[in-house]
Amino acid sequence: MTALDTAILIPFALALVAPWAVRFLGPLAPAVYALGALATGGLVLGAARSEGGGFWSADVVRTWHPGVGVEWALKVQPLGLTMALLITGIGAMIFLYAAGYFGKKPGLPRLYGLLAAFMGSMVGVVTADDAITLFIFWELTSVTSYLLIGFNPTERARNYAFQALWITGAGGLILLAGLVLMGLAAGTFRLSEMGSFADHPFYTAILVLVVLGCATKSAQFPFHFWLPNAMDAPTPVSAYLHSATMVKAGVFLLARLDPLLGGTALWSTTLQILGGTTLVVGSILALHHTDLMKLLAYTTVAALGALTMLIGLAGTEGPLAAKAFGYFLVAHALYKGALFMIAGAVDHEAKTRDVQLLSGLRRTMPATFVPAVLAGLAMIGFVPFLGFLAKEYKLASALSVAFPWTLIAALAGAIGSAFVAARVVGIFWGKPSEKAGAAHEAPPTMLVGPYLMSLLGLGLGAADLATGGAYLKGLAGILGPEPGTMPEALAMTALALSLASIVVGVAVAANWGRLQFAWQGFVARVKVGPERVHEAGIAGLRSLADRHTRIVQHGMLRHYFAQFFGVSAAVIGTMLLTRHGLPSFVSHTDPVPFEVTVALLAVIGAGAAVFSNSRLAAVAMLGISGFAVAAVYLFFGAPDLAMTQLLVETLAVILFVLVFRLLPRFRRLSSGGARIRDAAVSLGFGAVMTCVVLAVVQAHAPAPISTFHAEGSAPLAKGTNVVNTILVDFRALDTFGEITVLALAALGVIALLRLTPEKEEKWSR
Amino acid sequence: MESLILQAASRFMMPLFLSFSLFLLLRGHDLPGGGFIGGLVFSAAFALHALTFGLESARQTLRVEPKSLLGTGLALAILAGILAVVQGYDFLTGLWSTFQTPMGELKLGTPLLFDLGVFLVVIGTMTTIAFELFAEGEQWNP
Repeated sequence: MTALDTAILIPFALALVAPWAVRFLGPLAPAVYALGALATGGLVLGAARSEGGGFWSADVVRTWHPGVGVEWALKVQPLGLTMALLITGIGAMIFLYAAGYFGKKPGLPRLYGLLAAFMGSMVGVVTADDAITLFIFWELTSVTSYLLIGFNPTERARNYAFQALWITGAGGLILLAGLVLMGLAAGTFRLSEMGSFADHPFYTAILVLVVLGCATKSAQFPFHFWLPNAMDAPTPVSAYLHSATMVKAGVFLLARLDPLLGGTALWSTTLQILGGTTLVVGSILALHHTDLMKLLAYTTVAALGALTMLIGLAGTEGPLAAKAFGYFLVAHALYKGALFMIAGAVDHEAKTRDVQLLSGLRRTMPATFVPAVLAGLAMIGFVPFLGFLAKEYKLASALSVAFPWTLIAALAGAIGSAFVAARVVGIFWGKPSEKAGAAHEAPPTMLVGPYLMSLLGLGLGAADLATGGAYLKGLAGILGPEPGTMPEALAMTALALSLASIVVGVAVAANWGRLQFAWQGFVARVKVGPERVHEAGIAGLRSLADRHTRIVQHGMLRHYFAQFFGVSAAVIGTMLLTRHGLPSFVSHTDPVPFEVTVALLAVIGAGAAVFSNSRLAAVAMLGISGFAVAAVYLFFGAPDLAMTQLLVETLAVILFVLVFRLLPRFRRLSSGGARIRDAAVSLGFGAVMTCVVLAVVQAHAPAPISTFHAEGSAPLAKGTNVVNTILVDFRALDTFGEITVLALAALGVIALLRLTPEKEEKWSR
Repeated sequence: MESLILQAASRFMMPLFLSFSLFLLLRGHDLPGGGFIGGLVFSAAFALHALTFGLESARQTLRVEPKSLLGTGLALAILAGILAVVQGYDFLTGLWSTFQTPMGELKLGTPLLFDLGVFLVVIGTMTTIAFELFAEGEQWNP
């Protein structure tokens, strides 16, 4: 097992043992889980270092499904390493933070388990080198984030979690189609072995599918609405999913596939428009919210749009945009993670996260105030924060493209983030409000993360500025070549624009009290948005399913039987006649008296069951048929089958007797026509099955599998009862499927019998 | 059902049924029998018991909740498969070892564990259905 395998295994192992480990470790649990997260990051880093030179690691390849060319393949690349370090580093702080946030409330073991599983899935996504391996981890992040978003046991949380799952899950399927096309076109699923697809006939299809898949995951317009809604989760979840990880997976994949899909006008333009629109929409939608989390969530949407746009810009503008991407990816994760944690701490202590009810928190939460200011300055883009560098390069690369939309978008983003940062950090100024006055300082575990992250953003930026861009050289090169020095004129223009947007953003935020009414009036008039369309679509789907169910699942047992047997007889009969023809009805052996007797018994039993006037008699008659069949098995040397048949018949009679006690008196309810129809279906099905059995017996298969089983039973499966060795050895997986069905059937019976509306009350005690 | 004959017969039959069912389970790999048939015999015994002495008595005699047998059985079957994976074989590959005992050779393997899982699931399913139907009956015709 290599370091990379272990790196992915650790979080999943931590997730599996969480229910016990968290209780057993008690106050040590946050430290242990945080260390586990750091160990994962360290292992990825170690693997990357071991391959001298750049941050590439050796390949880890194991066969998985050789038949379809799917491998368990891992490989660290610079971008993946950056992401892995963010995921595990922020993850470690989230574990500490969650302990403080939950305090003595229950639910921490479940949260830790889910967070750890989510972290493992994300590390898998960013280190996978096989497209299918990547997709599996991608889906795991969707599933685990669904469980995390729906963590709170409320109807609303469940709905929003489902919304997120539905959108990212549908996107995942689209992405799978794109990845499979890539695999077909390249002849391998290894991303590192694929070349550019730009000239391949599948190119456009692959591009559309991949971009759609990534857009849903990274909440690009028009799929953006699930992300702010997902803020219903507990703050540790929001901070983790939406700062560095889950939502960045889409952006990550776009960047990861940039060498394979990029370099064309289609790719660059698509991403510039998509990202730019998301950036503008996210910035505008942030305006009218007063909930701290919602404000931050919409700027996350905007930031994801900016990252997507930068990937597109890197295609045409090259190095500047690539550098901006690297800086912004890290800067955003650090300041947004810190701000989410701070918002959660404020909510935790002041019992509200409405910015209108909060002011003057500086006095009651001074220790929280410091990282809030630092993270806010990073978000606005102040010197020397990493956020400043990111914004400089972002504006510079948007300036140097002829396409005006990117510049508009970049400016909207800059103003929007200045506005939100001012709104969020503004709650610490002024006279303490009623809620703020009652607040206390958050526990230290909740402050470790914000301090570390905001100081890291400051330190990295300062170090990079001091060394003239040499400090974060690796980061700058994750999406493309390292740019040379920026032309001075361009740098100055970018700086001027940056300052102007800060002034505008902060000024609007400061005067928002007066401006907001005009804005709210405008917002109220917008009736149609992607979320409305989505809701209408879901409602339509439900009503379609409803109508479909009413037609197909009418709940009438005898009609189900009639449909099932009728359709089966028609389909099998047609296949038999067209592919094989009627079997021969001529027997080559003389009938043996015993066989004739048994066959007659079976026929008499069936006939008597049909014409019987009492249920018990009908069941007994059916039993005669069943016993006759068992006798046939016995006669032809199949004792196992005979025993099973006998036992099933016996149990069936007992169960029937139990059911009969509950049924109304026996009466004839079917009309004559219905009875004729039922008879036709029954006789037709019987006739078809008879023909099928005869045809099977008469067909001469070249080498029947039964010979293999009979000869292999003792040497291969160490048993002499062929029936049993087939059940528990040769075809054990089938048997496993069957017992699973049995277990489900039993649960179904419980559900059917217990969960009727009248009884619900009784059992819900 | 208050039948003296049934009750008297049941008392003798139960132990016979149950030991026969275990006998079927254990001999199944080489001779007619196996987890499925054994489980059916076991369930038949309890269905009979419930018919004779009532649901409450059957539940108490079984001691475990029928539903829990479903999960236990499935878990054992998975375990039998995983044991092979841990040893580096494919899922559900049969592994055998032979022990020398004073009474002769004893052959143990993961297929037996798997069959035990089948046995438990079959018992769980049949007794769950039977007991649920009994409970339903007692609710309407107490």
